[in-house]
Amino acid sequence: MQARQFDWVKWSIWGVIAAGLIWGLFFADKGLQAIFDGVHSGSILLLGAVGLTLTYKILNFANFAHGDILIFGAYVAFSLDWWLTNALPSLFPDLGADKAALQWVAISLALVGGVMGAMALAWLIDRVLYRRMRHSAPVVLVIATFGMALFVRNLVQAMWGVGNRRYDMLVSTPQVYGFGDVNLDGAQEFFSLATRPWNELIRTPDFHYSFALSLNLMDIVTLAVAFCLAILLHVFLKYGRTGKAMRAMSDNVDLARVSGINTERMVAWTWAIGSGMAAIAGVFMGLNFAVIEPNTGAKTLLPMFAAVILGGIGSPYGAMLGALVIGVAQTLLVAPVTAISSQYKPGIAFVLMILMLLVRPQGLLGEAGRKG
Amino acid sequence: MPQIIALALMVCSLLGLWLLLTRKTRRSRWLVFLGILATIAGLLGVGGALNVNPNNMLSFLSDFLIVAGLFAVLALGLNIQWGYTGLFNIGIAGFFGVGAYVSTILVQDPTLMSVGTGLEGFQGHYFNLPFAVGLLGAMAVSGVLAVFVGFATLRLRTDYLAIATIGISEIVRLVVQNEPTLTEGTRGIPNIPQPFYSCVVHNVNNPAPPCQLLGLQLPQFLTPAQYSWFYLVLILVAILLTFLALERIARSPWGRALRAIREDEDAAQSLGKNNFGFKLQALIVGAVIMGAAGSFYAHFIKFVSPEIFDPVQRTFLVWVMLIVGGTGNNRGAILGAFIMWGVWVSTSFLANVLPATIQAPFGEIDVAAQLFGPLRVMTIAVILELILLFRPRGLLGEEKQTSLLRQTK
Amino acid sequence: MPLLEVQQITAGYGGGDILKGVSVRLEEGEIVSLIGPNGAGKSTVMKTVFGLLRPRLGKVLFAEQDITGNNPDVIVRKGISYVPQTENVFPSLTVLENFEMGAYTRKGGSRAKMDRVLELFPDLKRFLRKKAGALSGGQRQMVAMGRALMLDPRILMLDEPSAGLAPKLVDLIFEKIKEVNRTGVSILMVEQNAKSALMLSDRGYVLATGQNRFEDTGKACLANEEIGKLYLGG
Repeated sequence: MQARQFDWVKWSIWGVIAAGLIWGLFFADKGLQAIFDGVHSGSILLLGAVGLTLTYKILNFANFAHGDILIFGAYVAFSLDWWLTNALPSLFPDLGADKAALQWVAISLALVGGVMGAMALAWLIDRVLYRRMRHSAPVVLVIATFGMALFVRNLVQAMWGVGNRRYDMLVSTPQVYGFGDVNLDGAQEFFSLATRPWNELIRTPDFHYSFALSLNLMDIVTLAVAFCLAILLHVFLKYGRTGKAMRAMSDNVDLARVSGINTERMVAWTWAIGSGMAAIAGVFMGLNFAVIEPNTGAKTLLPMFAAVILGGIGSPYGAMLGALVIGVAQTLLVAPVTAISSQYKPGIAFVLMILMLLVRPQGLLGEAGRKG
Repeated sequence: MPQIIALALMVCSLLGLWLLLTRKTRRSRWLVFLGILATIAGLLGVGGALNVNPNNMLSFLSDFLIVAGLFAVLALGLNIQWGYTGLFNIGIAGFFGVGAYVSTILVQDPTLMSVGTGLEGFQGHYFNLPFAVGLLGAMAVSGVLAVFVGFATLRLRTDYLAIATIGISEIVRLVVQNEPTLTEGTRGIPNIPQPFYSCVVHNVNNPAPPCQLLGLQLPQFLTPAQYSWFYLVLILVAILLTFLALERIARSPWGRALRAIREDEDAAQSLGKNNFGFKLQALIVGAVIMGAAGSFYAHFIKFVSPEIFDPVQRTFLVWVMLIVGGTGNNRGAILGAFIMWGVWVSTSFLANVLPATIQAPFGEIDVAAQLFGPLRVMTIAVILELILLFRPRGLLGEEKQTSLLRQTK
Repeated sequence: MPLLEVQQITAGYGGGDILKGVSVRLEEGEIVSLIGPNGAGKSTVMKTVFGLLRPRLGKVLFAEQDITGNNPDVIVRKGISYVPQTENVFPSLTVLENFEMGAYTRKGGSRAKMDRVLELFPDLKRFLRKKAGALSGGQRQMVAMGRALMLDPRILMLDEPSAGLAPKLVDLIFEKIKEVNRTGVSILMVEQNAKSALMLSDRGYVLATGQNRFEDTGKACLANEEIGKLYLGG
């Protein structure tokens, strides 16, 4: 039994996160909206990060091609979507009449197609390439994934061209939901009284909050889908027979083999789940951020890695948590809330990742004492 | 007729490659050397015969050799970091680009920027210093960047280091792109002066005063068209110096310590060596070399822009070069650079082979715009995977060096 | 006909051969121990039998069936279970889940078998929902053995079951091994703690530098002075 020492580092990090949220909500300009947007983009990032962390832990190497598989799935869905919106009305005339319904049906079916496409590609790559390198040093595998990343990215570009693509979805106008105004005059007085000696330095915040959020239907759908998938994955891993075997494999591959678990089948499952969720992430990126282009996947790779490391490699819950933290940090720490240009968003993810690696390499949900 | 020459040369290079792959270096040195020559010549020839105007052949050749040489320097820098010490640096583009920009900013003459380009409104500050200052500045700043990178990342596991170095390269690129007062942002900096240009080139149209060295006037003995050959000599000197330095290092105690770290970090640590210090030194030395390459590149192309941080060409290609040539092997690094640059350049001549448009289920594909670039990169990627699968040691393999670990066992 | 027969195995990990023509025999219902100094290759014999290592030469026969080089998941299905020396539980899985993993290849439920295994290790009943990594060394060892027993193996192979355990726990573990044997499971054991192992065993093999040195009944080995001097620490 290890002595239970107080894990200062872990709780300090939680403290910083909590402080950041409080600051964002109450002290920052347009903080609530930024936090919501952050959770929104974090939920999309989450879908990709979970797959990444699973392959990292179970297969023991970092898959640099993850982002490109993500975008491949998104593009497959794109083609299917356009094809379906053209083909469905002739098969189902009633559907053709209702444009909105047609779009939702088409995108849903296309999503399934995109997932299957991504799974097929990931499985194929594993079968042809990674399987023969199972016993190579992890570094060699990482280099191989680097090569595959470029290969897939350029494959996408070859098949679909360099330009932006858009899903055939009506962009619904954002609604503003007001949660009412809150005026805490009493608190304001108390605050300025309490900080009177330092009145020069500390500006008394306004304490007049109008909590309003601007969001649209797609935001809600995205959040709902991400949430549901997260729960599904949790249930699968916790209670499903295969899920438990996957957890066993991520603990100890050799022992899993010794127990009779077919490890190659588990590897296939890992790729399937990882790439499937990545494809869903890709489709939602396209739906939420208007366009996709061949480099979109690569651009999200760094934030996804940051999320994985923040949460702790191998922990799907860690990846979810990390993704949300990265998402919120990326929106809360740039304009319009602060003075940093929004171009630097990837930089924020990166800095957080480095900080976590220096301070607590095993991530927030990893166990203390392990080197990640 | 050119097609036949091209075909013949292609066969030559395939033969050369086969020789390289199957002969053991020690036993059939001459055959291997022949193989190397045949491969490179063949690759060049394929491209040249198909596409290059005979008048431009020479300048095509010099350009090819110069850029391949720069890549050779980059590969040597990577070899110190990865081949010797096992540092997984995927941020090569960052060091390279920083070197290019620093050298440019130091050497650029603000009055020249608008000449011939018709562009106005440049925001940066430039110092119009001699080339040597630019080169040294590039190396210094690159080294300093390496210090920062090192402190942030070197204590990490190998694959974390990889992710971190990608990020660093990204951040450098973001800064360069978004701070026009420093770097002109996405516009780039044109008309960069070239080293010793007015000293050696006699330009009839635009004569410049000759240079003085120790009271003697240096003769301007080149025409503008011949300048690139002068530059090539500079590059070859750079390669030679770097190569000799690296070979020296390999045999030195420092080099053996680096190799020990690569083989088994924990064992090296237990021998009492300061792992972190050595890794940092290796990172810095490699970065300095990459920064120098960046400087030479900027002054050759005469233009820099954030595109210089392109991970495909500047990082990925260099890695493929080193792996193909032989990780840990300096000759391999140089060889790999020339071969892979040859492959890359030849793929650009695919344009002649493929039809202009291809019919696909969802419409016509304009080959030049859409297929061409991607196919080039995919070719390189496939070559990398093949090498990793079937000959991970590369063409020349790793040199037999003793590391500290082997000595004490 | 012996239940398990290891015939003239020559095997290594690529560098050189660790085993040079080792033979071991296990009859049904027996407890057989492999003892010997470190590096003798005892664990390597286990790994070869279980398919974690392919022998260069020699054969492994299970009930007269050739299983040389079969994959572990095939061998598990045939009726041989293996408990490695270290890292023999899944630390982030609960005890219950560890047992479920033991029965993974069985299509039907594992409830009935689990009850029988828990009868053998009643102390574990209160830890069923606890993560295996949080248990003490002795408890973990029991979980490891329980996991291996979930498929009703005919042979249970144990690699140094007493390693790292306090003396009281060592006795407990050996008691459990005897109990398991009484339920009809044949046991093949590698042990550093040669004395305790031999007291328990029907027969023992002494291995050194990858070769057979002695083979005799457990009591005879204990009484043998030479073995005692060289390998039993006097």
